[in-house]
Amino acid sequence: MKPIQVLVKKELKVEFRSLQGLVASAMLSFMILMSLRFSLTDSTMLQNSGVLWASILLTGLGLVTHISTRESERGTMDLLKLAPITRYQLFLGRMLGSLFLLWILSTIILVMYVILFGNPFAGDLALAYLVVLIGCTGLSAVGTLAAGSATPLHGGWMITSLFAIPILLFTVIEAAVRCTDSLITGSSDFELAFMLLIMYNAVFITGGAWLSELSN
Amino acid sequence: MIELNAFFKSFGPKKVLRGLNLEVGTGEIVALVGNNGSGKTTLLRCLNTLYNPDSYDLAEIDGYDLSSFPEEIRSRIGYLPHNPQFYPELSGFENLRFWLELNSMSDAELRAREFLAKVGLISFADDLSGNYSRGMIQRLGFAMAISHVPTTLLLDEPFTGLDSDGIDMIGDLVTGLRDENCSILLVSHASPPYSDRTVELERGGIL
Repeated sequence: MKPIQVLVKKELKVEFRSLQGLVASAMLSFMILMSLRFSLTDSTMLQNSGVLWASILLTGLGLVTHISTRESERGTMDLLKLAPITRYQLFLGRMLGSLFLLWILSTIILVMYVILFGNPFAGDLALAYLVVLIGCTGLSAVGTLAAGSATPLHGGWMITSLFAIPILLFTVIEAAVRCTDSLITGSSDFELAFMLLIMYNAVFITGGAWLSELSN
Repeated sequence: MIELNAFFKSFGPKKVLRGLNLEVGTGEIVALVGNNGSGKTTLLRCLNTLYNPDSYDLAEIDGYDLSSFPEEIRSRIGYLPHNPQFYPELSGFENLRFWLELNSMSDAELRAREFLAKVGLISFADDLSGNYSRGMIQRLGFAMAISHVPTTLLLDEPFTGLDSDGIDMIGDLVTGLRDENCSILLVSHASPPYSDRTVELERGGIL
């Protein structure tokens, strides 16, 4: 457990000292939300939570890719690979580091969403926030795995998106959208969608750790 | 102790190491010299498990097989790359402490300060490593290579960017480690005077 904590602590320290990834991602989220706020004229589209998750998916994946690309471009990935830790510990440490930063980003996005689009969750805002935090876990796992494989390649950030978005869209994001939509509409889908979301996260974290170990 | 027998590594069709045989004994400094592209750095990156070899009859460090015990090998190896890289947002001290913590070393803070002092960086310990000069980066890289008490040291052009004091300092530390039974493989264009043996690598094989 210790090496994972050390990796998470390092990731947070490096990001908080530079704020490159968080600030850029938060600005991009703001622009995406603003663009959608003024371009979507069909009010039924605004009543659901797709806009929120589109923003989290695009900018969150960008943040995870940025963290991985930074590590590869600087050559510090070799330093991590030289440490006497297993590849799954390395994956989990990097994934959790990205996850903490994603949680900060998604909190900012949720606040902006509530300000720009009103609070469609009414009294269930805390539950919606919990869904957002859990949804970020799968995003971080798939993003870290995809970015880890793709960033050494030319145009790796684009390959990461091409690989990760289809996987996330039909699993984590779909389940998360169903969760938050059910909170808005008050339908009874929430429990099933929430279970699905947790299951997808468990599969992606376990699969990511396993594939990392295999790649050794 | 490093033992290699019939060691092969290629990148696609390009064969870099061709049936290499090499032994570095306990408490021995072996200088590995060779022209550019002869496979020196590739050999070091295979030994530290960053590259996977294609095949070999024997590839062991302290009796541990390279492919079967990668974590054990990495805990025993200290590696100074040709161009060491660090987190520029962290100070020299924070970079070294991070490395020691990753290696599960107890008293990482104390040890980090001790090794920064050994390489002459203690007065710059709290400066961001992004502001270090090339020579200071090399010193920090050397501190990182030796701070977790490796039994085998792999040095890739260790004198790059160093002033004469720095070269002497590395020489003193390397010979000190040899006296403590560390096996040292040193890649350089010229063999340093304190090396016990010099081997020349050409086209992926020892001459």
